[in-house]
Amino acid sequence: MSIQVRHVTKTFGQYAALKDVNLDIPDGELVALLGPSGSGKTTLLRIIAGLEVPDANPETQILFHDQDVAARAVGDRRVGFVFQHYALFRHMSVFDNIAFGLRVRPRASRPSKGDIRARVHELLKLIQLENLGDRYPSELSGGQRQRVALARALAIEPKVLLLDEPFGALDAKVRQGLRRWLRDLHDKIHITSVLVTHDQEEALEVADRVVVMRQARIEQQGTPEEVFHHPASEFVMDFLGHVNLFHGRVDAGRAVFDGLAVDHAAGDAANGKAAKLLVRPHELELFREPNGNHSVKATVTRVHRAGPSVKVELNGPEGRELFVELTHERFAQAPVAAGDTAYVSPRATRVFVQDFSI
Amino acid sequence: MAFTFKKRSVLPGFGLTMGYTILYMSLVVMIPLSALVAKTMTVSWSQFWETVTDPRVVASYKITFGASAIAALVNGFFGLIVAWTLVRYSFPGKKIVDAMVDLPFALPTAVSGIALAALYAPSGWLGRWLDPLGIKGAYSPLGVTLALTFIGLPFVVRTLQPALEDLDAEVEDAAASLGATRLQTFWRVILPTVFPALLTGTTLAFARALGEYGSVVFIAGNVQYSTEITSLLIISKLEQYDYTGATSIAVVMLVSSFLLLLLINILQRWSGRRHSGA
Repeated sequence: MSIQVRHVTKTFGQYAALKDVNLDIPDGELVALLGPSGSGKTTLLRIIAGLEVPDANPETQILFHDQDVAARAVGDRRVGFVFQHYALFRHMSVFDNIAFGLRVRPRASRPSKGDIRARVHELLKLIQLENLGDRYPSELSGGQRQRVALARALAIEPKVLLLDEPFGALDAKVRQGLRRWLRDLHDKIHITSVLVTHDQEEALEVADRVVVMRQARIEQQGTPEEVFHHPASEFVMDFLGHVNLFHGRVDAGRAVFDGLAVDHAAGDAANGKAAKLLVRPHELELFREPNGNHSVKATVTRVHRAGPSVKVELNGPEGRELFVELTHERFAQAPVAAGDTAYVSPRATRVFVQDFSI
Repeated sequence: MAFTFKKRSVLPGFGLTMGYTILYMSLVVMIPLSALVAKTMTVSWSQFWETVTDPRVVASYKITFGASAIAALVNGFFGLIVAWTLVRYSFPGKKIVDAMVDLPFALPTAVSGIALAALYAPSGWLGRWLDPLGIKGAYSPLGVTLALTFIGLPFVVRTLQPALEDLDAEVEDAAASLGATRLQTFWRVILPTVFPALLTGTTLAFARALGEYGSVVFIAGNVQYSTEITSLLIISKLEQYDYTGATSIAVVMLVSSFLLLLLINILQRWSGRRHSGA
């Protein structure tokens, strides 16, 4: 079922959590709402669920499959909601937790005991906890609890699945496993899902589409490839991974940064304006000698060789920290050690000039 | 499993604190209670049995335990509502209401007893309206229950408040998103979660009511076989210099209170067993 959010604003006292947000989520997609804490992503999710009410505004609409559900209570929207801290009923067994949504239905639409049992077993199988139905939540690991929470949400056959930082409280390893499992599950049941996260890796890996939020607004949305490779702003680029930042100025069609110059076709209007050059660590190259290209001279401060790539930290002009990520092969060709002088030059760059960018 | 007293810990002090605990418990609780039992043992078994099974004494057990139990249950119900209101809502004068909950703790029991008696006596402010309806507020078992309810309320409210404050709001959101009505959420989710605290508070109110004297005697009227509570009988025996008679009854109270509290504790363990962790 598709979800459309139209002109949603939400304020808590003086604080604006959402400012006129519009969002379209196509049927069957898994969308990640990504942003730093306080960007409004959780509030947006809770408004979609009906756990929070948007500010009164005649233009505000929340459409599920083109039907306005804004006036409907959370229990009537048929949404499955998964919370960061699981929110399991701790006095109930795993079985009872999952059965809860079916048992609280009005008598007329409540499935029979046998049907409930069958449905719960089916879900236990889905979350691979078939033999743990009699356990209590306190006897489960974090990852198992979150899977139970997911099964409980799925039990009511929701039309939309909403996940609020579902893996936020888990270890890195469990997190990765669950992330992949969630993606597989989504490929299997194709339920329209919205995932809130502040972990860019999680968003890029799991989602069909990523919506980057910042300060109560949507900053950019697109496929993971789009937002990662074509960030619409410095914020998005910075948020989606480590970046090296160079300050400079636009001069005669070129953006000039300490020792670097990049063609900048923004036209004369941009002349004299401050510009920022952003380069990801893996897009920087490291040389022992100046090689004729534009480069920045820097001093190596630290080299990390443990891991899939070599990470080099350098001290650049004006004491600015630079991070370079190289493959082991590349590093072996020109190894550096702490204290060495090296030359850094970018392979790919993104220039952001005040107010507009290329 | 090895039986160990001590676990190695970075912070020392087990020996010292355990020593003080035992000393303190002995001085304040165990020694006086032992003296009570010791004094009772000076009478023969048949004498003891005669004293404690005297029909007048048995009637006093009934009213004491009966009224205490009813008062505790009433407090359990209304205390939950009061605690809920104080935790969940903010309203003008909330701090004052919150402070008022402690008044039955702080007031000398005789003062509250006299106040209640004056209020519910047939000529009192409330008694005046109850009397024509055939309801005797004072000088009746109802009066005893009223007084015991009054003194027990803070126990329930004060034990429930932290439990209600600890409730995870997300759990209620979860129940709502699964389609539960507010009533279902309360009944199936909130109540079971705070039940151990509710049980503790009700037990404390009950235990307090069993031993209450000051606030009850004024409103009870102390009618033999009807509103005479056990503590009062003990006092009247003392006034007649019948010390062993008084301690005999006291021992019965002591043993039965202890057994009841133990039973409730076991019940609590059983209901709280699964509540550890999230």
